[in-house]
Amino acid sequence: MSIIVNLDVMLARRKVKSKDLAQAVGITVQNISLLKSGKVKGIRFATLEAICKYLDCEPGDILEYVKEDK
Amino acid sequence: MNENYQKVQHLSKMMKNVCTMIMVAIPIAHLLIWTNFEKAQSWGFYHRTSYDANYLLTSNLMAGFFVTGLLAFIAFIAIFELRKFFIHNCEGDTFTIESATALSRFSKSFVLYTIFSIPVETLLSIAMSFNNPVGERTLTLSFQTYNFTLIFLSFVLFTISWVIKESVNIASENAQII
Repeated sequence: MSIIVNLDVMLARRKVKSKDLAQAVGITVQNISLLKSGKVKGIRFATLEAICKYLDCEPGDILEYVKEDK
Repeated sequence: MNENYQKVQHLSKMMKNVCTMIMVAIPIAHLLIWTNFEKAQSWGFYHRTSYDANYLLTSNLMAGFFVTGLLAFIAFIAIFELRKFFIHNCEGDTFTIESATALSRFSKSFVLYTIFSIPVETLLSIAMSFNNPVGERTLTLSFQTYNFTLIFLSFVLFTISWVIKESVNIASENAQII
């Protein structure tokens, strides 16, 4: 997939645990784990907004588009 | 796997039919009990309710009808929700949000039923004796082992249904979009 999720990088930069982020955002730790590994179909704007708010970052810091060679 | 699935569907269909029969029987039985109270009591319905036949008027029976009607209504709702749960299983919707919600609603109604059955017994004793002369009116307050067992079981069922509902929610959340 050409969208890379850099949530684990941001969590490490901010020194925040997945459990704390899950609590702040209001989703399960399992879902945070799935999000970090990129094994999700999509992310709601509300979730993205809550993550950005808690980690004090931009959506671009979490999601990255990488061009795939054909 | 397929055989087990068919068994689930077969059993659910049977239980759905049983629930339908109970749903029809509840209002009919309720009406019959309060139109032939003495006979119903001899069959074991409301056998703990004591009354004096000399002072028993239609108003007593009417009051009893409405007081126990509350319980009958809750039982009807509980069976209605249980029927919905079996319909979902019948259609192959096992462990879906709809079936989990139906089971959760059934367990809530069951908890309500067990809790309300205690004050209803007290209210019934008043309803059946308010025409008695002063000094002969009764007020029954009882909490027996089976009441406790029933309340405990209803809470266990409620907790299990809540866990199933939450598990289904988590599963569907995981499967789709975060």
